[in-house]
Formats: sequence, C-alpha cells, structure tokens
Amino acid sequence: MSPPRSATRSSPGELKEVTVLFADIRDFTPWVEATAPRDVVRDLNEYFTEMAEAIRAQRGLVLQFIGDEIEAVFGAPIAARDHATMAVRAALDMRGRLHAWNARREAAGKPALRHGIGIHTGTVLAGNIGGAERLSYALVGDPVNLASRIQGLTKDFKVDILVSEATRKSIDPAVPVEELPAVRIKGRAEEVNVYKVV
Amino acid sequence: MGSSRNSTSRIILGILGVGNLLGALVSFFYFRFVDSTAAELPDVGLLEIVYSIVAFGVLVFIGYRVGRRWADPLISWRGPEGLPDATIAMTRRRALLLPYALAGISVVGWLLAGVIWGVVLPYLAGILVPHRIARVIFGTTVIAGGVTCTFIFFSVEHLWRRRIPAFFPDGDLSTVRNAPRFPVRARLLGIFFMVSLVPLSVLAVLSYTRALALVGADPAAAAEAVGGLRLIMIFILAAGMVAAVGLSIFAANSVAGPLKDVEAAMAEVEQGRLGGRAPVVSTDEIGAVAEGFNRMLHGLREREMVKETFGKYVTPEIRDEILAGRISGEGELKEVTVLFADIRDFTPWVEATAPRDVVRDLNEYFTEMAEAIRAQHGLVLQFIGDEIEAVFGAPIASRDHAAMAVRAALDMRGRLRAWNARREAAGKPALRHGIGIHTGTVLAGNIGGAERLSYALVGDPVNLASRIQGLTKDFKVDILISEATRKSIDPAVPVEEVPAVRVKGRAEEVNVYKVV
Repeated sequence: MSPPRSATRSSPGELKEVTVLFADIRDFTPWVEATAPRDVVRDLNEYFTEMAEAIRAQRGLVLQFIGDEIEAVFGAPIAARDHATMAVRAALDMRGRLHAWNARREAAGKPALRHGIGIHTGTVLAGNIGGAERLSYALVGDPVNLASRIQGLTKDFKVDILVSEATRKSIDPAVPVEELPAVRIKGRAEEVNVYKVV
Repeated sequence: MGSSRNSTSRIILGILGVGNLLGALVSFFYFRFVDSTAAELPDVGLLEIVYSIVAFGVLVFIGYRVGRRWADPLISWRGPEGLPDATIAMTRRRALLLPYALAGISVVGWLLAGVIWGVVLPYLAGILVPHRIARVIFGTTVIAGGVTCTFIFFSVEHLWRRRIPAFFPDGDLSTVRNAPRFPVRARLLGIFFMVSLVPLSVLAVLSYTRALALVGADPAAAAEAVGGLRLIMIFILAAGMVAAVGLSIFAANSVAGPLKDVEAAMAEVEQGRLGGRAPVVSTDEIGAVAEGFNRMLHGLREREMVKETFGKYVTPEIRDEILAGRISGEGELKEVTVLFADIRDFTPWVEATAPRDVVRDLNEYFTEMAEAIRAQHGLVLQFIGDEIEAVFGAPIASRDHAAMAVRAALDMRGRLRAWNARREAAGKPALRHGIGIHTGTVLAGNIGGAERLSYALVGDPVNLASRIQGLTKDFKVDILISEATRKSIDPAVPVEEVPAVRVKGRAEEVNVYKVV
C-alpha cells in the first residue's frame, strides 16, 4: 500500500499531473449512531479493504483514509499516461465491489451502504509532507480540493460517480458519461462542469 | 502432525536400540580381532553365550524402559494447554535434556556392561585377573560405550531439534532454569577428541597385543598373526576415517544449520518483512544469537506497529499504553476534544511558490504545530493537505482534554507568530491559520484497509470540529471553539461569543466562541 520506497524517499516536492479520487460513504453519521462501535470499525475496515483493492488493481495509491473518506491518486508517485482512465476504471470496480459487498451484508441482515466517488485530473504538488517525525507521501493543491468537492456533489446529484471536465477529456471517449448541469462550488469563481459515469 | 510427532519420538527411542546394537557390534569386533586375549575364557561354552545374550537383553530392556519412562511427558505433549505450570516447566526442561538423558542412560548401561563382562563373568569362570578386568572395561565401556553414546547424543540431538519449537513456540529456551548448555567449542572439541582417540587407541591396543603374541611364537603362528593384522588395520583405518568424516560433517552441520536459519531470518528482515522469526533449537551460542535476534525483531515489530498505526511518533506514555494492549483498536466511544488547523490562503501561496519550498515550509509549519499539540498530550491523527487533525483525550483518556486543546491552540498561535517572524526576517511572506475545536463523543479505533490501519476517529463531532475550523475564515479569527468545548474549560479563559451560525448539513445553529 505504501508507495515504492525509491519513489518517495527523495521526494522533496514536485508538480505532477495526476488524477485524484475521493470516495465517501453516504449517510455515514446516522449509520455510526445506530450501530455498535465495534461493528462500525469492522464494517468500515471491510469497506476500505475492498475499495483499496480496487484502487490498487488500477495501480492507484491510497493516500489516506479520512474518517469515512478515501483519498487516492493515480499517476503518482510513478507517472502514468492514462491515470484518468485508471481512476475511472477503479471507480467502476469500486461500484461493482460495493454492490457485491452489499449483497453479502444484506444476506447477513445488515443494511446496504452507498457511497459517492469524485474524480478530477490536474497538476498537484506531491511530496513527503508532515511534521518532522511523521512524513507521508501526500498531495496538495487546488485539484485535490476540487476532487473532494466533486465527491461532495454526488450527494446533490444523487449519483455514485462524478468526473470533472478535465478527467472526462483525458479518458477513452467510449466510456459512457452523461453531462450534468454546470455547478457553482464554494470558493470558486467559475462554474464547474461535471459528468456522471453510467 | 500427530503421527509425525509420535514417529519422531519413536525414531528417537529406536536410536537408543540401534546405537546400543552398534556398540555391541563394536565390542564384538574389538574383542574378536583387536584384543582377543582380554576376554578369552578357558571354555567358551553355550553357558557364556547364553549369559551374554541374556545380560545384553536385560540391559537394553531396562535402558529402553527407563528412557521411555523418562521421555513419556515429551511423547504425550500436546501443547501447554490445561497443564499445571510445574508440569510444563518439567516437560520443557526434559525437552532440552533429552539428548543428554538418552546418552546418559547409555553411559550407565555400558558401565554396567563393563562390570558384567569384565568382572562378573571372569569371576563366575573363576579367572579374575586385574589387567584383564581393566582391558575388558576399557574395550567395553570406553571404546564401545564411547562410540554408542556419541552416536546416540548427536543423532537424538539432530532429530530432536525439529521438535524443540513445539515445546518452545516463542523460542524462549534460555528461560529454562539450569538448562544444559553445550557450547559450540566444547561440542567441536568433543567430536575431534572422539574421532582421534578411538581409532588411535584401538590401533595401539591392537599393535601391543599382536606384538605380545609374537614374543616366543613359532614362525608359522607369527606369520598368521601378522598376516591378519594388515587386514584389521586397514579395516580400522577405513572405519575410523568414515566415522571421522561423518562426524565432522555432522558437527559442521549442527553448527551451520541453525546459523543458516538465522541468516535466512535476517534476509527476511532486510526485505522489510518483520513477521518471521529465527528458529531457536539449542541453548548454545547459536541459540543465544537466534533468541537475541528474535527479541530484536519483536522490538522492531512493536515499533513498526506503533509507527504504522499512530504515525511516526507518539509520546512514550501513549506507546506504552499501546504495547500494553490497553488501547482498543476495535472501536470504542470516547469523549474527546478534536482540533483542526488549516493554513489560510493556501492555494494562492502554493501557486506562487516553488514546489520544494512549499513542501519545506509546510513541513516546518506542521512540525511546529505538532510540537504544540504533543506538549499538551494531544495526538496528531493526520495531516490532510494543509490541514492538521488532532485529538485530546484519546487514546489515553484524560479529564481536561478540552482545556488541553485550547492551551495547545494558544501555543500554536504563539508558535505561528514566532515562525512568521523568522520567515519575514528571511524575506518570506507570513502565513495565517485557523483553528477549530469541538468536544464530543466519537468513535475511536484502528481504521483503514487490511494493509494499513491507523488510529482514527469517526463521528459527527469530528465533522463539526472541521466545520468550525472552516468558520474561522468567515469570522476572520484564528481560534474558534464550540459551545461544548467552552463549557468544559476553565471559565477564566477569556472567550468572546460570536453570532450563532448555520453549518452545512446541520439543522440547528451552532454557537461558537472566539478565544482571545
């Protein structure tokens, strides 16, 4: 799961074109409140394990788990030409895995969970970031924030996978997407075009 | 598993039989060809043959019974479950003693054999001559007994090593009190002594007895004695060489084998795999090396676990709690105070600054802030972009986590100011940050994918703390705390209420206070 050592050891910071993927569980807070703590942790870890596998299968790197959220990157630390396609493929695999996992959950009498995935492609600053005693490979930059915001939009549009215009342009045109109305995002002057992956 | 377990025990008891049979052959050969006059009795009759067979049978039977009885706890061992401590300790001691015990039983047997054939038999035959007694006891006990005991000790030790881990799954052989210790040096010396002493003394006895036989013998008998001598010497030389080479290889392997295992375990660690361990199968120097290596590995694993789960650095008190297993990773509800800090105008700064400088400055900022948090017994959970998430009151519960968080925030304010002063002196722009603090009950546990678990918090208070941090932008202040945090801290801390606000995804308005 951690990036190859050689790739990160000497990473004082570089600009990279990458695709950033955020995934987040829907209705997480009510679920946490209605479920025994140990079950929440167990189920969350199951979910994360499944999703991390889908991401790794497309040579993505899980950067961190933030609460119920996953932050992953494609095209870093090792550059790849088709990082946008890899990210969309990972998202489709995550959709399939969530489906299968929910089937198992429902068979066990547990409620199904939904999630939202936001994907954006752009140039970020990648490097080993953190305090002196805790460095980890991380990304900073506006595209990271935008990817997270696009993930947030999946709630409003009630869809599970949204990709930005930049990602849409980089992927195989054969991947079926549907354009959604352009939206305003907090802290951003221009409207953002997003596409739903069907 | 069960069958291999029993077969090992059976093979080992079988070695007791085979080894002693080998000893009987050696003594037969010795007294037939080498020192044929020592045990010579006037009438070698049926009675002597019967006496020898019965005596040998009785010795082997008693030896086998004693060995079997002594090894019984080892044969019936199925792990320590349900056994009293004293039994476990006794069994483990015996597991280490087994080669010594079986060799020891054989020593006693061959001492008795020396008496039975060297003293009792001549006495019964009515010819008790002191030098003959000495020669028979030398041939029986020293030569045949020595070969037997060496063979039994090393064969049993070699085979038994495979079973040692069953008795010491943690490899803690050195915890057994008064365990026999056979240093590598003594082992090698003993083997070299055996392989040189036995053939040399046999040759010496042979040449002396034959020389004695030549004195006053007629030419025909002399020719016969010398003629047979050549063949016997060649045989002794050949047998001695085979034994010497065999034993030397064996001894070398008994040292090199366990060292190879340690080497392999080290190679695993070099690859970053800390899961393995070096098998500990002896109490000698090599066993001590393997045990020491395993202790080192254990320490590395613990540190790695703490590092993986809690980040590279935790305070010693938290590390001790984790290693003592007092921190549950499975998920528990805890009342804590969550702190978020975030750099203002981060994106324009990143865009206007060289990437390396951004990373360097960000790391400087994080280092300063993490120190302020740790100084108040807080734990930095993660750095998210330019944001810091920290918790007070977890993993170790504390009563005044809210006050700790506010003190940390004030320290962070002070440190930011000092850092900015240094930055401005270096011609770099000052940075500002916002800190949001909220107190509530969260779910804490080790969260993540199967390969990367980290101690994390989930729950609504975490989200609210993050939102409150976001509000610092709107209110243009640097530290905001929630109503819940405000209630938990010393009322003497000067705060100012700011207008109640709506935050996204929340029906009620939230009361926040600015810390002045």
